Amino acid sequence: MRIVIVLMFLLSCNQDKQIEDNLNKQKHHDQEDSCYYMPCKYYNSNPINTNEIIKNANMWMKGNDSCVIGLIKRMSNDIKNHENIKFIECFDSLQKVSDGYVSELLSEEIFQLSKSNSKIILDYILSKKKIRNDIFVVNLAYTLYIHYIFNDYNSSEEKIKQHFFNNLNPGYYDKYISIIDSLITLSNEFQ
Amino acid sequence: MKYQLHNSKYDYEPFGAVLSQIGDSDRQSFIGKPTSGVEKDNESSLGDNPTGWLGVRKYDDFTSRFFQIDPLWEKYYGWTPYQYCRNNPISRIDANGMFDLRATLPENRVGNTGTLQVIDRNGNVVLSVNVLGQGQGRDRLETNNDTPLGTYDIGDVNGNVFWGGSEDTFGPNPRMVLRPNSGEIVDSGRDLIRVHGAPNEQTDANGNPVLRPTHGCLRVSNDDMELINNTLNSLLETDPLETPGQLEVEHQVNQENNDPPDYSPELRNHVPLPPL
Repeated sequence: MRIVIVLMFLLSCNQDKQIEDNLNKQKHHDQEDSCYYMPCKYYNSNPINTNEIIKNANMWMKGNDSCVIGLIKRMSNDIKNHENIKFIECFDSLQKVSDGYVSELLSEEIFQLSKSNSKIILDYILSKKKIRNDIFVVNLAYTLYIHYIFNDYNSSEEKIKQHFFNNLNPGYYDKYISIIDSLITLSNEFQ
Repeated sequence: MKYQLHNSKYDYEPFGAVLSQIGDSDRQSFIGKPTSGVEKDNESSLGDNPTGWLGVRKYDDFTSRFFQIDPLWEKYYGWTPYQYCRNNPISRIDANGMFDLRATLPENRVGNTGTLQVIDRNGNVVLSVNVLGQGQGRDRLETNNDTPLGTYDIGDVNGNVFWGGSEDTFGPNPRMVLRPNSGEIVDSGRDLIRVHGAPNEQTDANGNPVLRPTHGCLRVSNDDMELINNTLNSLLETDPLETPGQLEVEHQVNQENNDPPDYSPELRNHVPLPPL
């Protein structure tokens, strides 16, 4: 039986490297903790360095949920109140690396902005060269699907058009109709 | 680690072997954690080493190994099936004493809900609610798509199980925080998955809440999110040994009758392991 015990012990030795790797991963994770509270540092008072968010979007969505949400809400309010386009670029960068609840929050914020300040969002989409696989556009189309198509397909196209045209000067309809049609097409693909 | 039990004091090595003893009691707690409620079996000896019985399998603190293989070893090829706590007994404990959650989802997530169960530390299912794990697409390794399978640790690094509440994106109740632990969720490199409700929840013709797709999170109705919140808080308040455990996201085994797979309390002794 002692031999069995020794054999089991030897078997465990080949795991040493894996243990070391795990420890290194943990160490790396601990080092990331210094960036962990980046949103907590900025969501409340400090001026937000938009270039830093666009460059290192990954650092700005991890950690304390409330701070991440607070930071995104703060930027969203700035877009609403001051039409600060730079923050839309931040949202775009964050969406490229986000997932789960942060993605849902960003998409909801952009969805709400596209309803209340549709011109600013549609202009931003128009400035893109390709929209088909663009995560910003895809996430907006997906949120339109969730709100207008998923539970009630009837007259969803009209509802989506109304969503954008609601606060838009009729003079702009022609300018944006093709981009809205593309969003409707993309939204329907989620069915 | 130092613990006092039955008028004797023991110092333990990390894997549970006794380093030193003051007092003459021959009753020892196991693996240096008296709160786990497991007593070392000094009568059953193997060679010179008394063994510990961890509910399902016998454990030897001299070799830091179990004598029987892990019942779920096939899922975790990267580790010997005899290992204890992924060789990290300081920060992990392989014993009952945690509430767990299990989300059993249909393979076809589109519009199909599964079951989210809350399981207390004794293995009893204390709550079962509907859950939707549908995301933007079906490739679970991609961000924003269906919720990945695997094991998640419940709570953030500081031990907070819930965050927020009354927010216009996630409904009126706090979200449950999850951290990737093992399986597909780790393989995918995805993160930021939560359990949460929804604002402006809609109902079907029968008045039942309709669960909207997410960006990879698990969606429950707002009423159910409140129930989960209350149930877990109640467990933590009424049983001092309950602590946040893990959420296992898995597929329904029997697609025909939607029966969830068996989940015996014995299997709860298993600590999920990282992938290769």
